[in-house]
Amino acid sequence: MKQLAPRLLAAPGGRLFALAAALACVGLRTHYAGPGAPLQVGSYFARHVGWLLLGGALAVGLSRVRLAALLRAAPALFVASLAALGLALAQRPVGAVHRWLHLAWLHAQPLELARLALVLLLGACVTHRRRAAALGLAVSATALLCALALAQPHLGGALLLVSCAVAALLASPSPGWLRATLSGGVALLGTLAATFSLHGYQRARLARFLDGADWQARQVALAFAAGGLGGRGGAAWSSRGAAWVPEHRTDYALAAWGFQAGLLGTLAWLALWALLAREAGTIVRRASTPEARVVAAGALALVLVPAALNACMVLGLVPAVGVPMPLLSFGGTQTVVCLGALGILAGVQRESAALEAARARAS
Amino acid sequence: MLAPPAAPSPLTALGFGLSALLAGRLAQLHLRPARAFAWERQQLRVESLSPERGPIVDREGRRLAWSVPSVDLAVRSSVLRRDPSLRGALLRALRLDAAQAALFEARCERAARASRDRPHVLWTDLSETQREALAREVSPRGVYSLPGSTARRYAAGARHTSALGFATPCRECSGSAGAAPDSRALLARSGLEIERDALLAGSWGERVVEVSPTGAVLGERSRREAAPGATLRTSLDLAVMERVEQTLDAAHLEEGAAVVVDLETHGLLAVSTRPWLSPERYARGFTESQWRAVLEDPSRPLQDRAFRDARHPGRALAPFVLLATGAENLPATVSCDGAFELGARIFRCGHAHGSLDLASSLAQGCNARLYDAAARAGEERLAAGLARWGFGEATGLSPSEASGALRPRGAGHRRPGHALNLALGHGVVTATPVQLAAAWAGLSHRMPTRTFLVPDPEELPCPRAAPPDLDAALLETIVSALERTPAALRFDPSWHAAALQGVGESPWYPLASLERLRTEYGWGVSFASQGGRGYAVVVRVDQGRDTANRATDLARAIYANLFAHAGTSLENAP
Repeated sequence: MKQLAPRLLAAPGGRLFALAAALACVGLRTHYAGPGAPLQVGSYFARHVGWLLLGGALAVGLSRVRLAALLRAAPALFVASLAALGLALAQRPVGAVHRWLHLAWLHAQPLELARLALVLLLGACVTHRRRAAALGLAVSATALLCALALAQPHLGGALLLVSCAVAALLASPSPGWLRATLSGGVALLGTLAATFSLHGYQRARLARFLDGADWQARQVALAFAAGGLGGRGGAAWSSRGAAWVPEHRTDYALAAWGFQAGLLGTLAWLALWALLAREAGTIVRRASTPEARVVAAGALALVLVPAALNACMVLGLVPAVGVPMPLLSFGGTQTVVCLGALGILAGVQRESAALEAARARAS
Repeated sequence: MLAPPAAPSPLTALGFGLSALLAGRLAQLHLRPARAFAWERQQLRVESLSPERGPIVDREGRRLAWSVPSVDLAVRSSVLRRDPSLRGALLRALRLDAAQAALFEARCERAARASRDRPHVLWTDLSETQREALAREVSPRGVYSLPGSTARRYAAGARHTSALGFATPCRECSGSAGAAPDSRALLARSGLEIERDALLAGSWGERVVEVSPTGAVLGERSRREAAPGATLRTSLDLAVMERVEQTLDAAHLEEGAAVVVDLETHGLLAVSTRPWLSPERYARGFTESQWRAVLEDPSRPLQDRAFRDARHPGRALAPFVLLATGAENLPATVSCDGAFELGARIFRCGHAHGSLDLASSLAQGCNARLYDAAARAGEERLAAGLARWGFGEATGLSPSEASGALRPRGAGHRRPGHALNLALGHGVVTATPVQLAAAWAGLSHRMPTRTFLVPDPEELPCPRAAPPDLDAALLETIVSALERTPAALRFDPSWHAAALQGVGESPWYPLASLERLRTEYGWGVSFASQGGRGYAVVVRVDQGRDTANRATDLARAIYANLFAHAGTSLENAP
């Protein structure tokens, strides 16, 4: 038994999964302390546990699937994502936005799935014989998805799509000037589109942020200050703190953790993310094939960029963009997709290690 | 030999930089004292605690008006806009009549157009049946039943609010000391409710609560309870009021008024005015068209005929005219040949009654006696004498009552004929049914008395309004003559009754509906006693023909109902 833990950690993807599990435990602790009975069927905590279990199973499954098989399935997955996005736009809006797809018992955000599909599609394009056409197709696919995201409207989602595309293109084996041009072009187009498609409420939110008059940011700062060095625990959060922080289960879940665990807790949580980023970066660097590198870079961006963006938003460094914190915020689709991306990263690590071992044996 | 350390890649440097930035920002936020945030101090809210409005009870302690907690129906604007079928479902569940349904539709329309997506109150004071139907038939998200409001209930379906006035839920007014609007508060609108508001309303309480930025109450810092309003005891009698209403209902009186005064205490026992507009309609509200229809209704339902509608009393004023002229102006006999000449003008009498003494002329309704007395006394003396019996002055029973008119003309405009008109209860004098009832109650007591609605514990049961420096012999003669008038003779012989009836014509309403011009109204004024119980009853009939006789018949029916059930409780009455 004593040997089991080191062996699991030494296995491909072991450390990645361990770090993800630790971050997921932070999320579970945060939601367990929220208002309401956590162990009741249908509670936020119970549902979050369910999504984590589902995402964990998907991650383990994807880590066992060969990357080539995933890349073959990428076009179909992309088309399915487009169809889901179109269907969501055609459905009745919820709160004046079309982010949700309602199909019987299933309520999901198709844009999250589209990000994963885009990453895999970009990986498939890299290995295509007609690389130039494939890269053009990749850029077009990104632009199409961005347009659909802005039509929802979901500015944060569009930015995350652009970040995934830029990361993947930067990791592609194309010449340096081409990579720089493509990624720069995508980033520029995405930024311009996002800027010109800003709605009135988004402009107002930006103005409030620049004026330092953002009510949400002030409430979140108050929650962090109330947490202090060692935190005030879950009971205080449940009884008093939760009422102070807006959207404390989703976008501002980090403030909930800051109130409960204090500076020590949030620094520990930050350290876990830093370790996970380092581990994922190592996987990208050691990827054995170009397509594996592209997919791994895209998956890394899929997990890390929303985390960084959400942390900056909660800490008042950027305006509110409506991006939840992976593995901490409550939310089914984004939790499952994030864990799926980690599973793909683990699969890339496993294949790279196997290839390296084969090369070592051959030499 | 050690290899030199590899330079970090740009992405690694970016990662380190971002981590350092986030860690620094976290430290900055966490280590800042919470009290440094100025807005934390603003999270205390002062809430007003509305007191329970005190009940109004009758002289036996039965409730006439009381407050009850109620439940309102509220729906979000977005829900109304999204689901067009919701209005129909709500209407079916509420089971409203046509007028209420129109009001409900108007509110739905206004709520659906509202820019703010918040719960809009569509219907107030839901009954138990309505609540059950709503829960059973309509349960979409965004439809709320809001408890916490207060409704005012009135005995007998608010038929007696002429005397009581009424109070409605206060939805847009402020509480005491500029507190926030409170749907639990009741706003007094008229009558006793507004006159004795300070007593009934009680005093507001206050609590200081700590609230979250979203308005949720987190805790209570301090609390001062509200003091409920006191109970207001009145001279009214619910049983008498019910019997008066029964009698008027049986006679199908649609326009008119009736007032009953207790001869023992001179307290006001019952007041009825028809048509009447239920105060529940004020509580619910009106659509624009409904309110216009109320204003344009020719029967004028907004007019309180008992307290506010002063009209010429006609011959109902005769005993007070004769008392005002004094015995020296009343010769033993006056000859009536059907007309009375005053200078060049001729004033008519109904018949040529011949030579009549005072009692006979009063009993036979001879105008010549009144003309003669008025011509001798003059308008000024008549007006002064009538004022002693309370004419031209509000009785003080209701804050919104009319004082009637008693305006002798100035010396430059005075003509002898004016006094003769006044003697017949026309010209410069008008009176409300309540004023006449008070005066006739005083007549039964042989002196002017003050009728009351709220007993004053420090005063005598029968308070005087003026010193009794009256000609007692003359008064006795007049009262005994009133007991032999044709109106009094229509009453039951076993009653000790005095009665008179008068006729007037409604004033000229050039802008009102033309068919109502110069219509007749009749008075039946009387007092009667039997078996130790006595009442003064004044009835005015404002519709139809032969109004004076109908008014006397109604007064007789009211006496019969009251005497027949004397000492019987309302529940045991047949």
